Formats: sequence, C-alpha cells, structure tokens
Amino acid sequence: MPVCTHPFTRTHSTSAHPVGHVRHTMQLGVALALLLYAPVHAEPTTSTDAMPGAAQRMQLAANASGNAGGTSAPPMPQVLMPAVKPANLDYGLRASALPGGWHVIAGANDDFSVANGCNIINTVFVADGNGVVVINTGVSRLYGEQQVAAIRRVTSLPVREVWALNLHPDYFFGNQAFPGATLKATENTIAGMKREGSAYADNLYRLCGDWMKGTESTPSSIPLVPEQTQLQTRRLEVFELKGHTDSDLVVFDRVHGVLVAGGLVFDRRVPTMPHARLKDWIASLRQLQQLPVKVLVPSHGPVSFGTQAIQDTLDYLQWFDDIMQASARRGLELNEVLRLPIPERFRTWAAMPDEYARNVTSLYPAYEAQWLK
Amino acid sequence: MKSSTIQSCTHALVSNANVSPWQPLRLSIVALGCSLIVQASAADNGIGGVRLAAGTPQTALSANGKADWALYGGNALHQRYSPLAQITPENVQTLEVAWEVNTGVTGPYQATPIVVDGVMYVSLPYNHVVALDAASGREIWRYRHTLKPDRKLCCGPANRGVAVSNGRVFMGTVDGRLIALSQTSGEKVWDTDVIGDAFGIGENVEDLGAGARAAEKRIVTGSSGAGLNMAPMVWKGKVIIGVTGVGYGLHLDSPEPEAPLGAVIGMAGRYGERGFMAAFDVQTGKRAWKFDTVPSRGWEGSFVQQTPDGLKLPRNIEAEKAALPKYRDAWKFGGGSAWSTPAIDPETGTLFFGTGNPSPQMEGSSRPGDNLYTTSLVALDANTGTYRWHYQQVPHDMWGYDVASPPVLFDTVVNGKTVKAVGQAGKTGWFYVHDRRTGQLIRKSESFVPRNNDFALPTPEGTVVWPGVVGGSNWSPSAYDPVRRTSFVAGLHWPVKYTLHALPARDGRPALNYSSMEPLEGVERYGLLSAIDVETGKITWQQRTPNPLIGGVLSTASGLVFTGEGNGELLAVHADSGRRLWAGQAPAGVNAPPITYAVGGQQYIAVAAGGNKLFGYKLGQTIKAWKLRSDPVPTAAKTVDFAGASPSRPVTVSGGAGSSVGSAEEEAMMAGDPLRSQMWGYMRKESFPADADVAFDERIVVQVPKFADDAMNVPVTVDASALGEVRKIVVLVDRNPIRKVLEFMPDKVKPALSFRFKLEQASPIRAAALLPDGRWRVGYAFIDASGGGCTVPGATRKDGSWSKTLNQVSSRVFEGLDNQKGSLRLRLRVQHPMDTGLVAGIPAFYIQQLKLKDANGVELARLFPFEPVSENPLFSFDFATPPAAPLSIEGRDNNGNTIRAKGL
Repeated sequence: MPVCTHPFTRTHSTSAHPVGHVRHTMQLGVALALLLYAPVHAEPTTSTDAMPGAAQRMQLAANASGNAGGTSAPPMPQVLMPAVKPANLDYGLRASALPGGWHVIAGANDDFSVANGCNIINTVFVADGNGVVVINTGVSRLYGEQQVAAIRRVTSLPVREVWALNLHPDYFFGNQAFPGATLKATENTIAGMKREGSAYADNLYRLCGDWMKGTESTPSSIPLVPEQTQLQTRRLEVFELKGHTDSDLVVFDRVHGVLVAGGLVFDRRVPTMPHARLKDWIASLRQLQQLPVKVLVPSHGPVSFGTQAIQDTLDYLQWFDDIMQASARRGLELNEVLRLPIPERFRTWAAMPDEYARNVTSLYPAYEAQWLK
Repeated sequence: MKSSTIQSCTHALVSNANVSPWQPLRLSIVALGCSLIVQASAADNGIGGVRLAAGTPQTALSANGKADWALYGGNALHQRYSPLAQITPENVQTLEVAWEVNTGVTGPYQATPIVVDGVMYVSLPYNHVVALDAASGREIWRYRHTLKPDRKLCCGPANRGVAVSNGRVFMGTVDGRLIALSQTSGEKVWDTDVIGDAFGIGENVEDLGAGARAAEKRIVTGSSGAGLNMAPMVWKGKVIIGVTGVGYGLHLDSPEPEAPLGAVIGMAGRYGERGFMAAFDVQTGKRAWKFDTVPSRGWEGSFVQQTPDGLKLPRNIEAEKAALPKYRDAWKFGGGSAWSTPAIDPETGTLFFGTGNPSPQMEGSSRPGDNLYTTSLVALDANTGTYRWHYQQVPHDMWGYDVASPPVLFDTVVNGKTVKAVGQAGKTGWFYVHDRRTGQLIRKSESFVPRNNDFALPTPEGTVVWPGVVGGSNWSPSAYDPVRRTSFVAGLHWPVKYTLHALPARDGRPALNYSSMEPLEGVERYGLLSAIDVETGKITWQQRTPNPLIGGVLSTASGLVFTGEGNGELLAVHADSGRRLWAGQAPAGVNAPPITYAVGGQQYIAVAAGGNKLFGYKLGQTIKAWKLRSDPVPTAAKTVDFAGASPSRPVTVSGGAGSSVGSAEEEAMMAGDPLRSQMWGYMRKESFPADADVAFDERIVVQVPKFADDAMNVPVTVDASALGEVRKIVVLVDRNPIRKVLEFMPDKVKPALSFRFKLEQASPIRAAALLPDGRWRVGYAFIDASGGGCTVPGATRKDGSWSKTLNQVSSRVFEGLDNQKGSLRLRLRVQHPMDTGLVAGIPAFYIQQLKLKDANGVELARLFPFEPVSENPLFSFDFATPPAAPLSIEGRDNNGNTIRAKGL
C-alpha cells in the first residue's frame, strides 16, 4: 500500500495522537507498527529510579495467587529507568539485574518523543557461558551502540547472539551495532523486517529526529528456530506464538521463572493492534498463562511479578472481540461503536480512549464485512 | 495559440536588490520583534541597472526594513522564490488584509507587481499603469494609456507586468508599442512602435463559409494579429521584449452564456505573422536587435517523426515533403509568439524564452516541416539576439502546445556534477530540465496532470485530448525552491476536443481542411498545484483545486507556497506537503502571480485580482496585500476544542474571552460559523444560492471520531430527523481539496445517513439540510487528523484488485436498532476504487449516482457521491417504517459503468 504522504508531519511531542499517526500509516499498509506502547503504569517515576508500577503489580500478583496472607513476596528487583540527555543524544541506558543473571535495560514508559529519544522499549540480555545473548536492539543505531556499552559495564563477554522478538522496528533498529552473524529472528519476522523496514525508517526519522542519524534498517539475517534456541548453560523454552504480529517470540527461563513476553502482554495499558489477529493473540495468551511465571518482562511497560498482566491483556482482548462481534451483528455504524460504554475496569487504563478508538477503527471493518452479503 | 488567451504574458523588471544565486549571497538577518527577515543582495550583474536601497552587505535589514520584488520572476533566474521568512507555515493563518486597492479598470489581470524601494508598479488591463505605496496602497501616480484606434486587440487587454530600471518603467502594450515612463512621475519618456505594420491579417468568421453557419452567429473574441503582453526584461542598457498573437486563431465565444472560451479555429491562408524577440535602447527606445522566432531559411527542419524526448508524432512525412514546394513562404506567417518574459543567465549573457504554436493554421497541411522554432524553448545571446540553441517540445505542433510558462534557471546534479540548468513547465504536462549551455534535455518530470490521447490527430467526430491547448501548465509562472530543489507548478486538467472540418470549394477557392478546438463540455475540470523534485522528476505532492489553475506560484524560504484560484482565493500551502494552510479572499478571480516584499520590517504578500475571462473567472479590479496580524491572537482552528467521543455537538470556544474576535473582515469570512473557520464565508457562497436563508442548527447530528485514525476511511453519521421533513442533505468538508463529499435526497427514508470519507487534513465537516420551504440548516463537527487521505491510492487501486470487483453490491437489512419496533437499517456496500484524481497518474473515478428503490420501483432515496467518499463505500440508510421489500439499487459511476442489484 501506498505510503501516506505525511503521517508524521506534526511533531510528536506536541501531538495528542502519536500512535494514531502510526495507526494511520498502518492502515495504509505501510506498516509501521511499532510504536505502540506507551506507559503502562499510572504512577510517575520522577522521584525514584525504581518502578513503582512493578511494585504494585507484585502486590497484585500475590493476591491473585492466593498467597496474600502467607508467604511474603520476594523483593522486587530495582529497575533503573533511563537517564536520558537529549542534548548529547545520550539515552542514559542502565542495566538492572533480574533473577537468574537476566538483565533488563528499561525504556521510558512513554510515547515516542525526541525528549525520550524514542526509547520506549525494554531490551534484555543474559550472560551465558562464554558469551552474551541480547534480546531486541532498540529504536536506532545509536541505541544499539549505547546498548552495547551498557552491556559492557556488566560483562566483558562477547555478544554471541541477538534475538529480535518480532518485526517492529524498535526490536531491531539497533542491529547495526552488532555483528551481522549474530542477528537472529524467525523467518517470518525477517521477511517482515525486509518488507517494512524502509517505511519504518521514514517514519522514525520524522518522529525522532537526530536520534535516528546513521540508522538504516538492518534486518536480522539468521533464521531463528525456536526449538533449537538455547543458552549454553541453561535450558530455555522459546515459543513462536502469534496474534500481536504474525510471529511473536516469547522466551521463558523455567528455572528462574523469568518470562520475556515481547509484544503479547500489555500491562494496564490499552493494547495496540496494528498487526493484530485477536483469535491468535487470545490463544497465545492462554498458552502463556500455563507457565509458572515469577518475573514478567514485557517489551513495553514495567517489569512485574506473576501472570496478572497476561490475564488483564486477555480480558481486554476477549471483551473487545465480543463487542465487535455483537456490534456488527446489530448493524451498528462505526461512530456508534466508538460511543459504546467501556467497562469500568478498562476505563482507567493508559491510552484510553484514544487507543481503543484506533483499535475499533482498525478492526471493526473486518467484523462488519462478515455481516454483508 | 494566439490568442492569448489561453496564453501567457508578463513583464519585466529591473533592479538588482534581489537574490542573485549566481553570486555568493550576502545574507543579512535581523530580528524584528519575534520575527526574522532574511534578506539577500547582490551586485548589479547587468540585469536591471538601478541599485536599490536594500542590499548593503552585512547590514541588518535596512533601517526602513525593505526587501523588493524588483524583477518579473522575483530574481533574474525567475525562481519566484523569496528569502523573506517572516510569514511562516506556523503563523500564516494570522495574515490579515494590509490594504486593498480598487483600480477602476476591470480585468483580466495577469500582471506581476514590481516593488522597488517601497513602491509597487502594476500594469492594469489596457496598459494603464499605477504606482502605489507598497505599505499602504496609496496611489502615487497613474499612467493612462491611449490605444491606437486602428489596431484591434489580438489577445485581450491583459498585460503581464512592467520592468523598472534606469529610473524608468517599461511596458509593452496590447497595441504593439514599447513605452518608457518616468519612475517617479509616470510621465511618458518615449514610445516605440514595436510591430509597425507587421500586424498581419486577421481571420474572419465569414472565411469559414457556409459550412459553419452556427459559428457565424458567434462573437469573435480574437484572431491572428500582434501585440505585446509579456513583461520586458532589462539587460545591459537594453529593454528586451517579444511579440504575441501572431499564431493562428479565430477565437469564438461560447454559445453558452458566461461560459469560458468557446472554440479556436485555425484556417489556412495568409493570416498572422511570425513572432520575434527584440531589444531596444533604454534611453532612446531605438531597436538594437531582433530575432525572428521563425527563420526564413531552414524553418522546415528535418521532418522528425518524434519529439526530441522520443514520443511518436502522427505525421505523414512523405506528404509533408511533397507539399513543401507549394508552401515555400509558409514561414512568413509562421507563428511562434513570444509569450513569456525571458530569463537571462548573467554569467553567460544567455537569454531563454518560450515560443508559441506554428501558424497559419492548426491543421498542419499548409505548413509542412517541423516549423522551427515554434513550440520551442529558445536560447539567444542576450547582447546580440544571436541564436544559440532551441529545444522543440512538439515539432509540427497541431494542438497548440505553446511553450508558455516562463523558463526558470537553477542548478541540478547530473552524474554527481552540478550543471547549470533551465527548466520549463509545459502545456504538455511535463516539466522539462535542460542543460543551459546546450539545451540538451537532462530529464523530464512525471506528468503533473492526467493524460489522455497524447498527440492524437483531430477527427471529424472530434478527438478528446488532455492535456490540450489549455495545458498542462499554461502561462502561469512556476516557482523554484533552491533549498528543496523543488519546482511548484500551477497546472490544470481541462479536456479539449479537436475536430477536423472540411471547407468546401467556393468562390473560386479550393476546398480546404481546417481544425478547431474547444473545451469539452460536461466534464470535470480542476487545478493541480504540483511539487516536482527537479533532481528526480518525481512529483512530491499535488494539491487539487476546484478551479483550473491560471496565474502563477510564489514560494518563500519559510516553506510556504502561494497560488491564486479563479474562485477568488489566494491559497497558501506547505512547501513540504501541499497541505492547505491559509486562504485569503479577493473579490475577483486571483489569476495573476502573487509576490512578496518587505517595507518597514513588515513582510507583505500581494497579488492583482481581476479574474480571467477565457477561463470564465470573475473579472474585477483589485490589487490586494496581506501582512501578519500585528497582535496575533490564537487562530480559530486552535480555539476549538471538541470533547472526545461525545457527540460532536458543540463546541467550546476557548482561548480567552474576547481574544477570539478577529477583524471585521475575518468575522465576515466566518459568516457566523461556530467553528470560526474562515473557509465558511466562502463555502457558504459556493454552496448555497446568494439569497438563501442559511443558519447553523445544532439539532442536526453530525458524528465523527475525535481524530481520524484512518484518514482514508473517516466515519461520519448525519441525522437531521429532528428537523422533520428534509429534501436534501449536502455534506461538505472545509479543508479537503474537494470540499463536497456527497448529496443525499432522503425521499422516503429517514434524513439520516452514515458512510466513510477521505480526509486530507484536520477540518470542520458540515451537513447542510434543505427544508421544504427553501431554508438551509447546517450541522457541524470538527475532526482532527494527521492527514493525507485524499492523495494516496486506495488498497484495491494499489493492488489492482478493484477491477475484479467493480460495482459489486453487498448488503443486509438490520432490524430493531434503537429498540424501536419496525425500524430498519439497510447497510449497503458498492465495490469501487473511488479515485480522487489527486494521485498522480490516476484520474478521478467515482460513483456519481445511486438510487434506492422499493419492490414497486418507487424511489426511496437518491445519493450523489463525489470523489471524497471512501473506497468501497458502505452506506447506512435508516427507515422509520419498513419499506416494500425487496429493495433494489441502481446507479452509475463517472465512467458510465452501471451499478445494479436487486433483492436487497
């Protein structure tokens, strides 16, 4: 599909609808998905580097698992937020240790903006034997370079493999900082990166300005086969699921209960659906619910304990599917669907109602088409 | 064509104070309050001759803050690009009228005003000239021209401007003279007859004979002749100007009242002349040199079978060669008018200009050969008039493809090297880029207008071609932005029918073929403002306008592009996107080039607005200037804040009490609009009869999303049921390139409708309901957008699948909505690409009519969609009581394909 003439002409920072632009672009098929994620937790993080949202989630997880009265929950690791310095094009990346040698480099809980360097993704790494495995490389070449430096501050081991969990650009636009022979993704994702990379670049350059300089879409080149993907020192379970995109990788370390959930899980934030297929997504989340998750690292939003974030995402997707089906069956117009009441439990989520409007605009036409003959 | 009408004219200029890119720019920047003006100056390179006040290197914008528009093309390169940057895309919406002058002389107006040292010099129709205080519009002097009584006008009264240099104001006149006036008093200094007796013979309707009785009743509006329309150029002590009107062309008015140009007819014979460019001493008016655009030897050329860029021409070369001996003197009335003010390369002293079509007739049999140097871009030695090179866009032209838009000089990159180039926007619909030294074609742009039947011969039944004689781009000067390396071209889509006629032998004269051309009636015409990347020839964006564009373009360093429209708008769009940012309103068609200048630290935008008769645009007599509001208040668009998903009703006008009250004129333009859109005053005039009772009415529900997440499919739900019986609903979008979205006659259904449309940018949307008593009531809403919905192809157009499903209908009847017994909704989809015509290379293609009928064939509703309705449109009709089922739908699109479905 055609490239929209100017989806991002407004500066992101002044726009109330940054993701809307993306959505719009997507509608045109240009694809772009990425952006989604905006912050998930309601509390500001101004006074501390720790993630209060994560702490709260820990509490929720404890309640949900029925342990409220008994064992106390394990201490939540401190997750450092980036100390970004836009004037220096310094992302201020800081690695935070998670159980089992896992590290997360947290991104801002925010929408894309020049102020945050368009860094809104959590990337992950783990030192393993004689090398390091990196998951996702961020939004730009600069991010990738600074990501390498942040890893160096933790370990001097060489980067052995780099895994991109899906085709969205902030999962792989830092690839230039890593040797080509390390860059892995599923075949489906590699094809998507190749297909949509230049459109992503166009849009991100417009949105993020100087932060993007020197960045060229560099798709991963080595096919990643989930069942053959392991650490050297420890067994991992790597699943290729789908629904958020056509290929959503999930990495689970059963020993330590760490789930790197990629784009499948949103936490108190309306999920974004540029490439979504709801039925697949729901099935994928049900699968994830079976895992004994202790620490959940989504691509966007706070690190949390337990599976509550999975359940919440599932709840929203199921409600959304139901309401779309029912509306199409009744013959409702899109404007009428946009004005349907939203259940109390979703009303406080971040990006409501704008992201909901984008979800409806994007997905309702397929539902209503089923009711025309 | 000769006639000018459909052609070009200009003026010249003089002085140096503008940017001269061939010299290092000396930029001076000064902060004026919160605004910046960048001014550039250059030494006198021979162009002009007057050193102006502005332009002392390294000084701030002079104490009086002046920047001139001293030359026809803004600078000698004719780029019509100004370094002034006080008016920006961010503040352009706060432009207000600085002054408006009624000249007392009714249009057409085609002149580029010249501003030198704070004084504006403008030529009026019939060659009157006024000098105005550029800051206030106050008249300083006026020259009243007396036409020679024995010379009839070949090409209408318009003039394209003056040149100011050496203390003189120079102007060519429609009666064939070159005149020098005192710059300070307007008194005539000298007056030279440029064409002398070389007026040629004009055609007459009687010459058409008995075979054209219908034509005889029509009024002749022009014929072959000679006059001067262009603005002169001054170069090293000489005034240079060319002659126009020498091409064929008996112009007849249209049989329809108030319609634009009727037919143009070319006949064989000794009509007309050949064109020339000539130079005259600035002090005495004595002629220094003359270049004939058709040489007496070699005019037949080499009988090429294709254009220089390789397009095949339908020429019978053998027959032409055989006819050559019979027409040995065809060069004597060979045409080749010089329409456009030349651009002069000061480094090499080379002059570039375009020539008009060949003569004596449009049908080519009496002028065999290539007809050099007609329909060409020609380069001469500016000092001597000696030929350097030519590039003939259309050899042996038979369609009137004059090279009308003035050439523009700029640098381009070829194989990594910078090449001095000259570009020209053709009537042919392509922008040509040539090497300035040799004329070699470096590249040709994508077509900036839709195309049909390129170079097809006239036939007795008529051959329809677009672009045709009108263009493409006509005489409108293009603008070139040297930073963006982009040319902005005022183009138009205007289908033309070329018909071949046979004149029987009579009165001893032999039978003869001739051809005529006329605008095709009953088809859509529109304007296209295009941004063309001259380095690639690709079109960066196009902005469609309701009227075919004629007048010219201005670009500024701040990223603004201005152009006028026949409907009286002066439009500002963003140089990077084409997005409409502002529109000023004039009382007549804005069909002359806009300019910008600064006086007293204040940047002005000015234009002559006098319409264009040939194009059917309202004539007038206004010169108007705008400047930024001195005490900017929040713009209307920003003061409107709609609650999100709540029904789009009203509207909080925020922004501070009182601060949102604009000038009386702005208030008038808003015409009481609760959304305070300055488009509304114009839309009201455009959309409703002048005496209609039109009022806003909140009872009409207009639902849209807060933000257009999918600009190609923006849902709108209109419900006017609260008004009772409604005859018609018209949906309008203020800021779409095509404002009218749809008309709906809810004959037997509820006056309510839902559908989706394409939105180009954030805009108010209106639903106007016509009541049985003739009153109009208007509902409204505002929708925010990032834009672009009208100017990208739809999904099925992109993947080509539209042709497999074209006009297929799917539908379903839904019951029980609103929980009201008996209420029904019909949702109906028609597969159709609904092309807007705003995507390069894809003409407008859309459903024009749908009629919904019941089982007895009674019409329940009629729908008239326009281009902005979304691809594969889905409509919802509501019924208060069940109709006689089954229903059926009938309709057609603008290509005549039928739509039909039964058993709904």
